Amino acid sequence: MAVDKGMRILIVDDYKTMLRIIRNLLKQLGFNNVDEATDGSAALQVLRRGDEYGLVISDWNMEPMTGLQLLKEVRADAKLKNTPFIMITAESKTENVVAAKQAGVNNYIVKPFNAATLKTKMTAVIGAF
Amino acid sequence: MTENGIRDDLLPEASRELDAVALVAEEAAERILTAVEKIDELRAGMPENVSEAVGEAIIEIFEACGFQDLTGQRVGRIHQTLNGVADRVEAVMTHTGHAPSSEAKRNRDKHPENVEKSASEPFSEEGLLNGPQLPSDAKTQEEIDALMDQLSK
Repeated sequence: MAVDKGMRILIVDDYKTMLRIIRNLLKQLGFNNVDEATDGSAALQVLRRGDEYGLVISDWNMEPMTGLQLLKEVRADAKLKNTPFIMITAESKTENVVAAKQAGVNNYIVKPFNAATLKTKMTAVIGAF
Repeated sequence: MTENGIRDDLLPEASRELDAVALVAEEAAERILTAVEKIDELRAGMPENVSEAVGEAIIEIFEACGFQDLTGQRVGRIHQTLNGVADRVEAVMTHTGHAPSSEAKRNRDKHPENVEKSASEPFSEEGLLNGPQLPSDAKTQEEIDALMDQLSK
């Protein structure tokens, strides 16, 4: 079954320019229902409002709550635990990838990234579109 | 230059210059994005083949604008390094009986980077927060993918 491009997507990054870039790339891929948050705690508030999100795309290095902490909170929350989660980060050390994988990340994109990589990883996580 | 000069003039000046670099990069990226978003809106009125070609170029520009995020993170890391150098200078001055005045300490602590750090809780996964690695050290997406595959087995 094809992915519903009307799905709600939450993007999380502390750089407003990066939020704008990801929002625009998602628009080019046909996804326009996009919300934003600037750190993990703000993202959790959005996720817990009750709207269903089909995907979370999050940076790692943010304050006060990092992307890894957000991921752990999401996986520990009975209502949110199955939400697909992609990490997009400049953190590319092996221990980072291991920690993210252990915490339940669905895919991992290293910055700088391109639209083709974003599309490939989204397809792997939510299905073809 | 004396230790006082390094601590009170050189390091703060370097910090200010770095802030200016980050600000210029951010403003440039925002202006580019605004211009490209306008072009994107005009695509609806273009012939299909032109719109497609413009769309591909737009995606490349969006991708390239990621420089601002990485620039900002690298500047943040250099700030941390400069703070470390300032701490060392201060330690040397204290050791040699030239402890910094409380006013000098207050001035340094006023820097936004330091205020934010002191106001926030320490990260529980601090060792995993390193920011962008140098291109020669950073893993490629292919290496990340291989690692993810390996961890999925």
